[in-house]
Amino acid sequence: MIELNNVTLYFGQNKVFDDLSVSIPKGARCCISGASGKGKSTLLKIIQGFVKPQLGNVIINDEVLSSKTISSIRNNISWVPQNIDLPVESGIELMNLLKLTSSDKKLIGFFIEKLGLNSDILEQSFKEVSGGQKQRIVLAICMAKQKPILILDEPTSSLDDLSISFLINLVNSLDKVTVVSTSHNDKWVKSATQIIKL
Amino acid sequence: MIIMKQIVDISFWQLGFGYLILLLPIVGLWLFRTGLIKSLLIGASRMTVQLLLVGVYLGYLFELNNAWINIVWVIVMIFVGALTVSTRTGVNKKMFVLPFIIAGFTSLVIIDSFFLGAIIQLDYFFDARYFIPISGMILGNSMNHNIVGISAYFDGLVQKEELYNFLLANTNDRKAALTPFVQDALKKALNPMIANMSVMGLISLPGMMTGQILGGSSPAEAIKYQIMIMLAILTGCSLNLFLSLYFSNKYAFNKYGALKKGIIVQKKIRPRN
Repeated sequence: MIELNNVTLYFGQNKVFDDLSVSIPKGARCCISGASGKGKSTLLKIIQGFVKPQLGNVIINDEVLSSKTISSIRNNISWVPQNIDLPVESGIELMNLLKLTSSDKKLIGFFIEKLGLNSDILEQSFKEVSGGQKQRIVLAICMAKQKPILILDEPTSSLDDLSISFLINLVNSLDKVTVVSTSHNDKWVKSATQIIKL
Repeated sequence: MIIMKQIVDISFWQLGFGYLILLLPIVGLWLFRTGLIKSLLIGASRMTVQLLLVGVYLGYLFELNNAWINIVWVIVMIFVGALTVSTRTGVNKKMFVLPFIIAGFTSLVIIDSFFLGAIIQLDYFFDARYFIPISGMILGNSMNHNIVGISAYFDGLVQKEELYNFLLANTNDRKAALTPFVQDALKKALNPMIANMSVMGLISLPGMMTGQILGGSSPAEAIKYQIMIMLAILTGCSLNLFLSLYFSNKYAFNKYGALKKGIIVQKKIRPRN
């Protein structure tokens, strides 16, 4: 369960959220929608403690987000941001950078194939794969970490229609995982069990 | 047998005449409209005044040769170096001057203890003739390499904050999240020095060695000192940069591990006309 209670956030003089309260149940497929600049990505950052609101609090699995609980909360979260500039050249290198355990690595083939790719692509240079393939590799690697909360910022931005269907099917098969995402894609938004409109 | 000749002194008239050679780069810079002429003239003037003053100060310091005065002199150098690094990299002085001072001080204590105490084995550790110039060379070089390394580190973190957050979120390990940024800073700062060291003697003769030979030392003696000072500089620069990054990290992130705002507060000082 993820709860945001009476969250108010200013960036300088600009009020981003005013007394926002949101509750996302465990196992939900929650999609945050809204026009650009409404604070969708910022909301994801608040949940992870990267942005601290001036007022209100965040509770994740009964723990109030604070400097004391941030480490145990982050242990339960995996996050895939939009269009990240990675300092590595392949999926294998990314797996090492993200410190995947041997049990995580055993699962990677399952996630890669569910996203319509072959496991060999992990060894290929990112320069040789398309933007959509790279995005699916990053998604598969983060999912293989098997965290109870999966945060996806515009996961469909570089994907074609078929790949979006693969991703929706995969995400829907993860029963115990709470998925919080942002997206402008209709298909993705419609597949959500909860929509938060900003 | 090598017969060492008496050093040929340069008169102030000759020194003044030497400045005329600057006309060559000035004409080149003017032709290509680089906007660097004013910076060159200011730089050359500052260098002249600073070195003349240092010449006078060092004369007094060598004469007094008092441990406390020498220590204070070196501490002032550390302080000025830390301030210069903050200014040149454009980082927030209030946040980072202290970590840079601590890094400079710690690295210098280690390097001076090793080279002056254990290698040269001076009878009087704080002998101004050794303690001040060697500390100065280490600090001066460290400052230049710190400017490159600190700039690369904080520019990288500010420009690629999303990458840092991504790594922190998915590893829950700040050290792992910072590793690519530290690697980049160390490579950018130390690569040129390592490259320079590897061709030393082949395509470049270092200033200290040249100075010693001109001052009357034998080449064999000058080379031994040059090797020692190169090792001291390389180790000192690496250590100073590593410690600067380490201590800076205590001030650059909030309690949630997120990068604080306002780390870079001003544009870096760049040459302009």
